[in-house]
Amino acid sequence: MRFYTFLVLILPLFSWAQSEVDSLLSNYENQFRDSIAAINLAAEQQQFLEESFNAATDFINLEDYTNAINSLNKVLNIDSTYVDAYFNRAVCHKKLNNYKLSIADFKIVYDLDSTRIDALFEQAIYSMDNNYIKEAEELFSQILVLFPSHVKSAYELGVLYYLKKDYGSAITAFTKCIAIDSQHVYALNDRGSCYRLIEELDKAEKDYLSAIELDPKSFIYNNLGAIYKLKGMYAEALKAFNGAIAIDSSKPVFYNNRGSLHYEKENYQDAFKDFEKALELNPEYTLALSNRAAIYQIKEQYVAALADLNKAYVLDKFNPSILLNRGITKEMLRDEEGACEDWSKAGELGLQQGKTYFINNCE
Amino acid sequence: MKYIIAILCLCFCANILAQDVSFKKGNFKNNKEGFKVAITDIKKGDEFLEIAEEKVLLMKYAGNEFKSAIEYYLAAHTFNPNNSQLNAKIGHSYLYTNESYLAKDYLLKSLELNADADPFLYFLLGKSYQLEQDFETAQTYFLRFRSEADSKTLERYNKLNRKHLKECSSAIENILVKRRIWVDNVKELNTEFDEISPCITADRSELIFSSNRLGNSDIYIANREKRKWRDIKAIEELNTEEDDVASSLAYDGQRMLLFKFKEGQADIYQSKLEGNNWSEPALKMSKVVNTDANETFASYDPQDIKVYYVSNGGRGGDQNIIFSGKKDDEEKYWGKGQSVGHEINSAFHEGSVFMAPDGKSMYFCSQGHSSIGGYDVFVSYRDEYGIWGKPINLGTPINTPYDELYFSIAANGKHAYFSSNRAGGEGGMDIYKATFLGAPKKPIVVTEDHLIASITEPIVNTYLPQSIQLTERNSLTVFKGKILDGILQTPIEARIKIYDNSTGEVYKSVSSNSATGKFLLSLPSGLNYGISVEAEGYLFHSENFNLPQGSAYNMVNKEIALKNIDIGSKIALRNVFFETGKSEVKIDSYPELDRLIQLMQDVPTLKIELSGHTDNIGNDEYNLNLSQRRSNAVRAYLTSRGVDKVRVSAVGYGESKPVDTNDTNEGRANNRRTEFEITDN
Repeated sequence: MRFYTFLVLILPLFSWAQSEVDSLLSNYENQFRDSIAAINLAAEQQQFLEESFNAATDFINLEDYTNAINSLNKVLNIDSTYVDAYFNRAVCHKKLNNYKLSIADFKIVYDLDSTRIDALFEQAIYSMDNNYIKEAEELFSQILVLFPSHVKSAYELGVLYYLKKDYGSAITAFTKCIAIDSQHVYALNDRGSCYRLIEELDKAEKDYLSAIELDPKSFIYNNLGAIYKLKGMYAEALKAFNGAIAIDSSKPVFYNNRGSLHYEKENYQDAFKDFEKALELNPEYTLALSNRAAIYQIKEQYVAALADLNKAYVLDKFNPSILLNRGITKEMLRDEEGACEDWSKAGELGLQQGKTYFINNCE
Repeated sequence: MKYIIAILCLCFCANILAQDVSFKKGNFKNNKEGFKVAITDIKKGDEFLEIAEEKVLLMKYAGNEFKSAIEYYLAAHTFNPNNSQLNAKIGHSYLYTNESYLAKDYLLKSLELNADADPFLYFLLGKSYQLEQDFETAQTYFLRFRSEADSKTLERYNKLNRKHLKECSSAIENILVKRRIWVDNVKELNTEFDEISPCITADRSELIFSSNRLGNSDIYIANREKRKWRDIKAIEELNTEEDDVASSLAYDGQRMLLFKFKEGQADIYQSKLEGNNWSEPALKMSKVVNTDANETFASYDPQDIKVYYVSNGGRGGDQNIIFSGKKDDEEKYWGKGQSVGHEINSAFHEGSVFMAPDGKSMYFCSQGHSSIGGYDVFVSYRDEYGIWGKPINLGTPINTPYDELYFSIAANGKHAYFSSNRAGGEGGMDIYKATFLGAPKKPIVVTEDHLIASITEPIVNTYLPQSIQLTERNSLTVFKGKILDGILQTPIEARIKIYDNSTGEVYKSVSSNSATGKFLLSLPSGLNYGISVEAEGYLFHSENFNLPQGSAYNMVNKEIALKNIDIGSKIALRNVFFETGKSEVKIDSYPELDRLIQLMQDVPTLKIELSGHTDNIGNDEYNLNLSQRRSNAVRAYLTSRGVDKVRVSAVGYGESKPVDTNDTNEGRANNRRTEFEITDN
């Protein structure tokens, strides 16, 4: 509407310059006519703007972001201060993975309207997604200064610190998030995970249990199972993994993890069954392939193990564990050269055990 | 029945075929000459066998004698393969050669030909089964030999029989232990001849070994390339026409211990690598060490002070491991050789020695200790007091009931090389590589964590942009108009109301200008409007109109003529014209008169009086007459156009009713006029 008023004021001047003076009309009538013409022109443009904006909206909903951007460009050609158009265009650029363009539009939104915290938040999220961690951190912090109870920023800041492996700061951020929203299941789970990583297993267990009490999600049970496994509480771990499977029996990861628990307890038969089940759910689940191969190795069925590991490697060439295990299998199949090659690669991918095996066996 | 007969025939034939055919003239009447030759061959073979047996009993190597015996026995065997005793002798001889795996078939045939054969056959069969690692069966035969052999034979062989029984016991225990060791025949180094004493450089790039592939024993070198040994060639500068055997390399690979035979007696020499060539071997230690006995396989110790070596200078020619230390840096003086101790040197032969780089581990080969047959490889660890501990059998698969000798381990501890005459080789002693796998490598079992909730189950933050409500918009049309007196076309100030017919509500209310009758306003286009116009003394006017959508310059112009309908109202028809002094209505008067006609039609009750007026020019009568004629003419025009005569009267007033001065032209023009007055409505 602000734009509309603006046009009403400005366009008559423009129209006068364009229109011809009708000699049959008085000066006043000419002026009046021109002002009305200007109003009509402005209204037409406003209509075009609104229609273009809505067309862009439709394109976005159809996930046709290129055409959405074209429509929004038309809007912004008419009204370069149209905040929502910038916001939507930023969203489109984001969807098209045009990081710089998206961020630029989000910035304009906030510059034009400092109440648009959502633009700052989106910038922060997108920066984080693109590994611009420092920028994201600054943006989340800025939001939290402006809106200390912005729970989403508090949570995402925690995730960001987690990704930076700054688990102390992550715990602080998640704690703040929980202080704002005590029912924040994700923050509870994630704080638990941070505690796990700094080996404060009791605190981790407590957070996971609190999260489960609020919302018994399968992945939280899975995390709890991992904690119990680390604590050597195998019965509880098994119960937790069973809980995860009871909630969601379609996820191969839970079977894989329960299988690993059985493996650790040297209950190879049940471990094998779980890895098989995981592979039944997802025949290309590389971890289960690698783990089933481990059982084959235990059984000295190296050919079967190699088949699984080869398949896993094709699916994931950068998993050092798969390479390490395949190296072991190859060694047992007397392909020492192949084994050394795999251990070398595993070492290059950062697995210390791979380096050790290579040094001890290949050099 | 036919079948039964056939089976019986086959059994009979088989019995005939399995019959022990003794070397008697009567059995070979048709080939007396061949018989004589066979008998001669057997006798010659027996001579070698007798010597060999004595050597065996003295724990000496008798391979050559046995080989010679086999040559003669095999010739006789061609003549008569079905003699139990001959088969036993051939098997016996093979057992002590590098082709011992060939013995069993002859021995079994001997037993088959004569089940009541000499119980010594059980000893030989026991040894044969031992080689095949069927230790339980071997034990059975050794025990049977012990129980059935005559006292003389048992006395001769009791020591060996006990040894073999012990070996079988050791083997049964040993074989249960599963060791993560691979043993591979290094085929690229081996031939049908003997390849012995592999010595490997610390970086495992070169391997030096000895072989008799060209007759006497020479020293060879091979280079490792892509895990294979290639470029195998003799080290010419070290080889002589006598036997030259490499023993070990110094840890830096720059020196080699070897032994050479001179005049049938072996001493230890050392050669140094000078550039790419090995120097002429020089006696390593003084004659105090290199005695009249044979000093053979030797090894440096890591401190490079002592040399460990094998000497057969022990009691009865027993081979033991001896060490000697240098007394000066120039190595001119060496201490007298000393036994490494009774823990190492057994009652049987020790065959080779290798000092590991750690200086605390001694790998050696021995027929004694807990050997599972032949020479086995043992390791002994030196304690803090320098005492060598009890030897530990390296076990299977390194050790077999055959001979394993010349064991040397690489600096990485992962690989070792040794020689063995085990079955399945290329022939003779072959070089084998042992790969120590170490502790089992446990595969990594990988789990997947879902540590971060929003990564596992991303927060659904789908932004759905909202459409905006389109602004209701009609372009505006300029609505311009004029309110006029319907007859006179003079401007009228009127009240104008514009109605939005879709709602019935007044959209806009304006007044026309009193001076011009004009009004100007804007209305949204595309709608239907009603307009009402009211002015005092005029008939109310209303009508509908549409404003179509149009261009930006859309403009609608509307003139509205109001009808004057008040009784007594006088309206001058200024646009009615006559020629001067005449009463014919001029054509250009018609429009105004037509509007009057329209008024009359619009208001059917309206009655008027038409009146003619002149100025004061001319006489009164003339003017009065002229005005009457002119008003009549106007009335006639009206009635000619359908206006009822009764509704129009015509009067001439001459100059009697001026409306202006007659003193001016303008005043007189105003006074010259046609008027009408509303007389009834």
